[in-house]
Amino acid sequence: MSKRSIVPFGPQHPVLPEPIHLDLVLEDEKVVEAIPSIGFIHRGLEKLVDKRNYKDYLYVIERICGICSFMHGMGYAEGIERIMDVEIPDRAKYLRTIWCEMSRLHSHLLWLGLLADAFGFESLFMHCWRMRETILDMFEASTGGRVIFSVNKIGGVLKDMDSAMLKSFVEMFDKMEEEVKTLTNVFLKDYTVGSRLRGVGILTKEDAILNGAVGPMMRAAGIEQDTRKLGYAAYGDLDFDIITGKDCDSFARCEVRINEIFQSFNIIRQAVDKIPQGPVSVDVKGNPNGEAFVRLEQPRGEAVFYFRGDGTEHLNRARVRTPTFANIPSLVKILEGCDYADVPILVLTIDPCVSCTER
Amino acid sequence: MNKYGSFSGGILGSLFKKPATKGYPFVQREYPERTRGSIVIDIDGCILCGLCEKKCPSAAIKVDRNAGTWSIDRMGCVQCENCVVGCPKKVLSTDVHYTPPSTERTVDTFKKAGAEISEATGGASMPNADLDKCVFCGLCAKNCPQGALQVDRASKSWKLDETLCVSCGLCVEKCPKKCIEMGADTTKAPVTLPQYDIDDLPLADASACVYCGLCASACPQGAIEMDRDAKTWVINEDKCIHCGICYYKCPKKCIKMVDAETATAQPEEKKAEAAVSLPKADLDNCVFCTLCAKNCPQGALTVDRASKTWKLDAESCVSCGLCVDKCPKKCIDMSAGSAAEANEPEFKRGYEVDATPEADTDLCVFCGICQKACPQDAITVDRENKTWVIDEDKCIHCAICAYKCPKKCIDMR
Repeated sequence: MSKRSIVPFGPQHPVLPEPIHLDLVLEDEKVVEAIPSIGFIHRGLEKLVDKRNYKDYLYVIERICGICSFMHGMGYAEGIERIMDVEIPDRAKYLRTIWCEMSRLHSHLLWLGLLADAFGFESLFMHCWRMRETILDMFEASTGGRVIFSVNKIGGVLKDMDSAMLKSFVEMFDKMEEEVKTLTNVFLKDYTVGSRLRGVGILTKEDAILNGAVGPMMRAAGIEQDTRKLGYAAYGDLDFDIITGKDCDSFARCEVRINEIFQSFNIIRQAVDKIPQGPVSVDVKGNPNGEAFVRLEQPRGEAVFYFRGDGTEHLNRARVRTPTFANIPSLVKILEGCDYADVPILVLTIDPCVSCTER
Repeated sequence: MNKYGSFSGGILGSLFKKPATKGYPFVQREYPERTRGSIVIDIDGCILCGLCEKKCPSAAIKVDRNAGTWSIDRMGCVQCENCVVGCPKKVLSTDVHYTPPSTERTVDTFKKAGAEISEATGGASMPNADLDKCVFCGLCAKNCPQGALQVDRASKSWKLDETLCVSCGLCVEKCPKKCIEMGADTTKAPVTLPQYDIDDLPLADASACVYCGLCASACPQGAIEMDRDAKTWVINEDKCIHCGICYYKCPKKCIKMVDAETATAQPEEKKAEAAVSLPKADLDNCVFCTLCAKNCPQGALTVDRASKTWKLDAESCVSCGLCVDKCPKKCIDMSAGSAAEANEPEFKRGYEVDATPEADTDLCVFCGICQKACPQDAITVDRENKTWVIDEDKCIHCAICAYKCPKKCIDMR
């Protein structure tokens, strides 16, 4: 047996995009155990819920994450709407759906870029992010923000997208889909990409269940589950299949995310076709009294929100179980037995968002 | 499936494309109109209500009422637009351009011209409703951005939570009756039902009671038995539902809600000097100001300034004496009138042929007499919910309801 050594990895590390710390127990170049520790960027956003009015807290909760900011705001709004029994207009549901899918698009493109960067494919990384830039511009044109959108409100959304804007978006997505297809072909077919991803970081179906994996991580292991199928927002009216992978490895996770990009294009097109006319928000009076659970499918996986109000303008409790938090046990699992050089890519394949995790 | 050079097409294509980046700072970016760059304020329209300060999630906005300034910490601002959405005067807006980069915290302060006046008056003034005009429609409460107003139609109450009020004046603007004023006399107590226990009974103060019977006719349960001649006032404990309507309707405010023991233990006292008498105005002194008519709980008085007439409907009069109390010239005498002398009750038929009746729900006691009298069953009176509804399709404009109404609260319009 070779000598064991422990290599600290992160929170600041040249190849690591997110501030997570791992103690890697190595035997030669093989990782035998990874011990994660988090808590470097805890901001106490959940605690702020008893300091700010429940309507203003929406702007705090959407700052949990810079990528899924829309969905954090939407999860909060849906939760409060459930507590207060508010039925939001159909148009607002569709607008939320469109923005959700746009979030998924830019999140997955960002992830593809980071993945390309992690295995040293710089130009591919640049092209992915160039594509993502177009979506950020669309976000800016429709919501006014590029990262934090501040477009949700309790009872609907604050801004409407007129038919001309929706039409131009769909045209842009049509054009973009072609470009993304060429780009993702590189991920799916190129030899160098395959050599870094195939057969690495295998998370079997049983392990995925055991470790409570969520999102693309879980679907790549062949588990057919997608919270969007619960039919929140307008997903109940839209037709889409759950995308799963077969090989359970890093490549399968990459493939699932790429297929989800095309699925998102499809969902947006359906939503734009079906979007009804009408108001985009209703007035909400009074304070929330009660509790609610909300489950949303974020780009990184299922997020669970819990809110409890006691009839005052401050909520008692807000809790967000973010997808990255749920995926950390799976990460530890796939790191066991891997090569030391594969650690950055494997950390990346769970699409980590440590800011979400620590809030 | 694995192949080499799958990206070469993309690389070659990129050689002949324009750069995806812009030549900043020589080429400036054009922002879409919704971009949240920075918050701007039209300080002249600002009323310094401070709502934006309260709503700001990052506490970047400071409003100083005394100094008349509105300031924003540009680096603290997170451009969420919550202040713009919440501004009651809509003086805040978002500019697409960002504030210039800086290495120091920049706080932009705007001073409102003529804001020193508010300093002299000690800052904020609170709204106050003239309850004589108020119809308790609740529009002010609905529009209050702070939820500081509580208006209850049933109990005729208009309450302001002064700790929440930011003196934005929206209630004044929204009031359809224009009965709210900023900084009006706040000493006038709002008409509210007293705080009483759920099983308290009403008790009339025999020394103040004029035995007008308004409480008895208002009681939805018929629980009050009042005898004008014998000067007795008895509450039937079993029938009383503790609604407090008698308290509200009493023109002399002599009814109190007390616990059951006190209410039943109190013997009914007879009032010695109370005589059934009708008011009469001394027309030499009368200025026909109509205050007596306005305050008559029964609407028994008709005063017309133009024709200098003062008429009493002796049948409606309950001798409560409120007209005497309210007369500014003290020209009304309670003992001077008599039923014989009083003018004959006059029913005004001068209405348009297609006028439909409308009940003044403030006066209406929801007795249901109009409903019974209506030959067409066009009127629905709901005593419990205090609603009076006319079916305009069924109404034949006969005005029988207006004639039959004991409260004369139905008008043909």
